Amino acid sequence: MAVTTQFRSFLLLVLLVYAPSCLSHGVSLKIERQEAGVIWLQHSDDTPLADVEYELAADGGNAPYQSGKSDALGRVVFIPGDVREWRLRVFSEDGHGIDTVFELAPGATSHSHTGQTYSDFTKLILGIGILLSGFGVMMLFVKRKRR
Amino acid sequence: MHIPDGFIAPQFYLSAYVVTGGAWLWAARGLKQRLDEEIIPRLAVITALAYVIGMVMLPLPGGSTGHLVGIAMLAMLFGVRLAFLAYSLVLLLQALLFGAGGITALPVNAFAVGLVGAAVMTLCMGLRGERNPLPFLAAGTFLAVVIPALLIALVLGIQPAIAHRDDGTPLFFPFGPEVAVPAILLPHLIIGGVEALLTLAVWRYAKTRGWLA
Repeated sequence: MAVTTQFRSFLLLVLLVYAPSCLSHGVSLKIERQEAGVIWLQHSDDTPLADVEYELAADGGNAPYQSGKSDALGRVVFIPGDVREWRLRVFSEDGHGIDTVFELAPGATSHSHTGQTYSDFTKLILGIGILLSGFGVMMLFVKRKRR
Repeated sequence: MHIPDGFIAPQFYLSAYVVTGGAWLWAARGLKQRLDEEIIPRLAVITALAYVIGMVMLPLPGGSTGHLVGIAMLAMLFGVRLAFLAYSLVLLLQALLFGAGGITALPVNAFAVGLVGAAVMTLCMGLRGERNPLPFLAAGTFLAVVIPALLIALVLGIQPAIAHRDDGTPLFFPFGPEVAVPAILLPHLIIGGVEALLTLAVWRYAKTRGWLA
């Protein structure tokens, strides 16, 4: 009888020792609300750049902090924590994408990584102006040479 | 068809700068003799046109977008060397002002689109002899879009093999040629067709003006 009691105690001890490791094979969830950074990826015509590969690295470094694919709305969501400077690289299969470093200050509500000063139309006109004035200068040199 | 910055490994784009730099020098040799008061205004207008059409996005089947190139009309009117230089200028402006194509990728874009594209168009037009130029014009334009697109797709596709982390993760463009080639080439089959129509329109205009040799 004493042996049986000892055996039962031993079994109980074994169960107690191994119980946590048995539980570790399960999956547990912890869900909470946190402040997140949301990057919106768009084509130049404002349609979402959905389902494209991205790689996000902290502090402008190369080691990826987070990688994956943008969602159907072209969003990349990440938890910035205390890190301010980030490097984002986006690759689509057809060779489009972006490689940019941006800053996201704690508590910032919005941020544009493109930091555009001029509209696309203004830049288009600016480019034409640069081209035509460049060729205009070339024309002056050619005329002077002929004289 | 512009490769952006960050897509190509440094060892590749530095080598490309050496090769394309040599091609730029070759194209610039004797430039003064080839430019005169008649050619410069035409070159200015067609280069500006190439710049503009490269910025206008065309909707393509499958939800993607693409843009025309303009190298064929430059090559048709001005030959390989001037077309290559003019298109390199277009690529530089597009990279600096719009971020369309990168500075590190400039030699690859310029070599593939500017040099190879112009050479293909000139070769096709040279084959016509005394025959009707329109089929050669259309085929040349189509190939001047599609062959550079294939080259660029291959350049991107080999990047995972050139530069990757110890675990095999690509450091730059992450897709191999089996993904990059169809993804880039198929839309350019349509773009090549549309560009052929544009080049034909420019050819007709140039013919009435007596610009063609």
